Amino acid sequence: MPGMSSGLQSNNTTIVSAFQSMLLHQGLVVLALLAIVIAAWNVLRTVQLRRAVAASAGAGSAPAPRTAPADPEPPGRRVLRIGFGLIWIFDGVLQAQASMPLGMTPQVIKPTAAASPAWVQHLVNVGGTIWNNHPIAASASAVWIQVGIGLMLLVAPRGRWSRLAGLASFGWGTLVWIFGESFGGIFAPGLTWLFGAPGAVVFYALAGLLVALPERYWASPRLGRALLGVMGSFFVAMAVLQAWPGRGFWQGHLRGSSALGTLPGMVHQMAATPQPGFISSWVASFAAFDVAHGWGVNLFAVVALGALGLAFLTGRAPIVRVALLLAVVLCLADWVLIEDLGFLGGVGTDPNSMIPMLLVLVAGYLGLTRIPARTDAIVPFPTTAAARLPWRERIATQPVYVLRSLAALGAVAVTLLGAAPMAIASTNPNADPILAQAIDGTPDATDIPAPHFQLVDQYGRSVTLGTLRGKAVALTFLDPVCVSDCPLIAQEFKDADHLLGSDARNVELVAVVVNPLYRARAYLTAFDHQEGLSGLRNWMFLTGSAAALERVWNAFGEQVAYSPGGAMIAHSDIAYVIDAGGDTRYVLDADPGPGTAATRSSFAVTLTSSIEHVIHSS
Amino acid sequence: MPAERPAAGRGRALVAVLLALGTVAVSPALARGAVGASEPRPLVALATPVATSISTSAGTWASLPMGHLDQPFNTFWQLFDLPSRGGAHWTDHAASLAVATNGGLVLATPGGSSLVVGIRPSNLLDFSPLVATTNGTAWSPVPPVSALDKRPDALAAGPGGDELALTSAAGAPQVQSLAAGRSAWRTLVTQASLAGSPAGRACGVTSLTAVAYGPAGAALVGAACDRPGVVGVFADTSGGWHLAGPALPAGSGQDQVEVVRLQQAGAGVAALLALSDSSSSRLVAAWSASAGTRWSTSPAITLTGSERLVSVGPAAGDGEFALVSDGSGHERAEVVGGPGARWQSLPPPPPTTATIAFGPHGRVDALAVDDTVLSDWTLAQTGHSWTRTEVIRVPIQFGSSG
Repeated sequence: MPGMSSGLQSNNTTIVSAFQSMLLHQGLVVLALLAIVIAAWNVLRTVQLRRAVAASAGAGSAPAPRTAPADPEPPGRRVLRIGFGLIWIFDGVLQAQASMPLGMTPQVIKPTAAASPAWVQHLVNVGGTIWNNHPIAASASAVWIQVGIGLMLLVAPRGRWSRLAGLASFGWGTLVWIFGESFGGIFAPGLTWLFGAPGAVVFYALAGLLVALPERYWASPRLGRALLGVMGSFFVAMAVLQAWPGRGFWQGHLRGSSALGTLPGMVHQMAATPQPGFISSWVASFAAFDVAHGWGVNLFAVVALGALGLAFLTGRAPIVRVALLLAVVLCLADWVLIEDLGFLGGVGTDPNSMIPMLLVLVAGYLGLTRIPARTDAIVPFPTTAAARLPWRERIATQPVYVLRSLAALGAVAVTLLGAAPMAIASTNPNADPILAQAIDGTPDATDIPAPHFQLVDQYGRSVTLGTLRGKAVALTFLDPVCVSDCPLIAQEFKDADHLLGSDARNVELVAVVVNPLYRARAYLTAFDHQEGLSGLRNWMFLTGSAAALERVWNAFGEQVAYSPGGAMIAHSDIAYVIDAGGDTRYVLDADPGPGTAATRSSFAVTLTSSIEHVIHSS
Repeated sequence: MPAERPAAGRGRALVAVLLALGTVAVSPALARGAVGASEPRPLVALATPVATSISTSAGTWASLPMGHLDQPFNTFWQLFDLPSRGGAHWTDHAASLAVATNGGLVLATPGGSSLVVGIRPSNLLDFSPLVATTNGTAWSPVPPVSALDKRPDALAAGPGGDELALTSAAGAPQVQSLAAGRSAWRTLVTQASLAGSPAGRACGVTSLTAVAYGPAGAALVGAACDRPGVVGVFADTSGGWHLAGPALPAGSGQDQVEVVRLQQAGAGVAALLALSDSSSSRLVAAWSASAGTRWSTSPAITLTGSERLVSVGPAAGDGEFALVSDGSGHERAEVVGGPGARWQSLPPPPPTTATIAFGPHGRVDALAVDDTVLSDWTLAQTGHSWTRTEVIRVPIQFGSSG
């Protein structure tokens, strides 16, 4: 019925089942990849052993392996690599939540973008459209891309594979920062460090960039100092922003009103999101505290951020060490009391900014104080003797190298397992039919003669089922003064006409008016004009006398009734696909659901598919 | 390895801090969201309500919003009728309109028993269906018009079957006309062309606000004027559009004027004017038997800063009423009986009164709305109190409009 939209909730069983099924299938592929890696490792290990035995038999004694002790990985780099590797995997697991396919856009992307300028929203909408049109492929892809990047970072500590993992982290992190976090909200009002500015994923991208750097950059304290300098400047900037008057952060309540100040308002909202009771209680308690002591809380935040920033900017190890310890305390307190642990409220996609920020700070400190090389000059990193061996020889002699290379290859394959379907999906501008199926179910195939009718079209020409013979007919029932479903269904028919391409010449798109009062041709024309259907060559909007219309409604099982209380005429949302011989071949539930661009497109794809099947099977 | 002391560390730190400050200073985060920023005080303007009542020879009609009034798609306008012959009870005719009424209803009568109802568009509907009746039982459609404006007198019906509509098709405010027996509306004048005419320039037209037919069947258009002291009532004559409004009462020469209502009244035309300066608004009623040559005006009633109009409409005879709320649940009803009369206050209307209806035989009803419940309060013969005479529960289908 128009207006009685079934909606499309994020826990829709059709979508959730399809998502879990896709994850399961892709999971089996990942298991197969793991088996291949293990098998390949066994084969290569066997080859290595045979070579070693043959070599020892030839030489009369076991040769010393051509390896030298490896220099340790720079500690700062290791912290970033392992820390962000684990976080990426954690994020990947969060992406596997059942509500992610349909919840990501309305619950994560849109709210984040809502306060940003129009150009940001427009840009974000590009990504959102791809996600909305292909929610299953997109959400499954996000799972495997993030798990794959995490695995790459963890299993490849050095060399090209490791740097590739860093680049992947930088690239995907940047994409997520732009399209998922709307640039971390930096273009929106209300920006504050306390709530995660400038976005968690910007730290993922930064860490990826640092991992992707040649290791020689870690051979002097310059990188660590530069990193701390950047973070220090950032903290000072955030302190100034926090202190800026007129942004509502100094007040628990806004002056002259009962509205909460900016920070308590945000925290209060956070406390209301679905999450475990104890976290909600902590967050709500802090919100209450901030309402009562808004000025003091903000003063503390400003002083703490400013002092930490200046301490990091000094680049002096003892000062930075103390500042780092204080930053750990501050960030953890913020993470629990304000950021809600990041992922527990609503559809969480990451642990928010505090943990990634701390990892970067720790890496900066280690980069400053724990230098693996003996010189502070930027020189080529003193690679091991083993690293200089040709890769064929390393494969032949170094089991660990083999294992890590195979594991890295496997991780790349996992990433591609996610990236490939998303890349393919993003080239298809039309939505997947599963959205329409989630709302209306699958079209019912049938093969019965369509009821006869005799009506007139919007131009006054007589139209019967007989005059339509020889063409496939997509027929539905529309109210020209309907305010919700009918315009959407009309757009879906129009989109289907576009999708049919040259096949549209063999199709008539027909609507029968279902409003007993507004059935004059002037109303059909007004509706056509409103929906841009006036120029559609194969579009017919049929009307007739009240009696003739009632006969047609009854024949097609269309229920029409006046509604009380100022509601529109109630009628069934239904569409029929009739073949060139006058037989009904498909019956489609045409409820447009929420009427989003994605669901409209999905229904058009489903309708087109049914029409094409009828055309090509006749 | 011990940390290296940074070279020129202080200078670098200073540069970094300055950069950070600079970054913050140009941050878009500061561009908006300022709290308590002061702005120049605008002229007090009144939002014209659409809720109203109208009388025909067949009965008294009232259109008012019900449902969840803070939710546009769950606000449904109802059309109630109290028949003039033997009618003691109100009847809801919203179902007969056969269209969702979320956008509001606009009423017009050419006189006699006829009523024309315009349904303002809402949600995905972008034009206005029109429907006419003479008895509330049989309804016939009138050709649809572009989106009717949200004004109580956005629609006018002439005795010969002609109609005028104030519309905002594609964002271009204009007056459209429908000749009797025709199926298509045509543009009579656009706001832009009216504003560009000599009369329009004398007014400084900022918006079109009402349409009506004058005594001789000439089209009249009400407007809001930017130029102080000018009343934007325009009449369409063979020589083009000319200003035909009344002169303002003494002391109002610096007020900006908006025509709130414009309608036929008896053999002439009646107007309700809102006069605004920077501190308050005042309402003045005006009548003309000739639509332009001679007007009489009422004294003004003042609306304080927090007061807003809830409903305006015709009162008994050629009168006008204004229902005013102070924003905290208190309302007052003011009535002016016709030319030469003064404004009089009715007893304080019941809470949540949406409109007042003036029926035959001196009957006055206050129609109060609480979600889906309409309460009809009748003014006692003494004129001192309201008595609840009827309660109607309207079966509103929430969620049915999207």
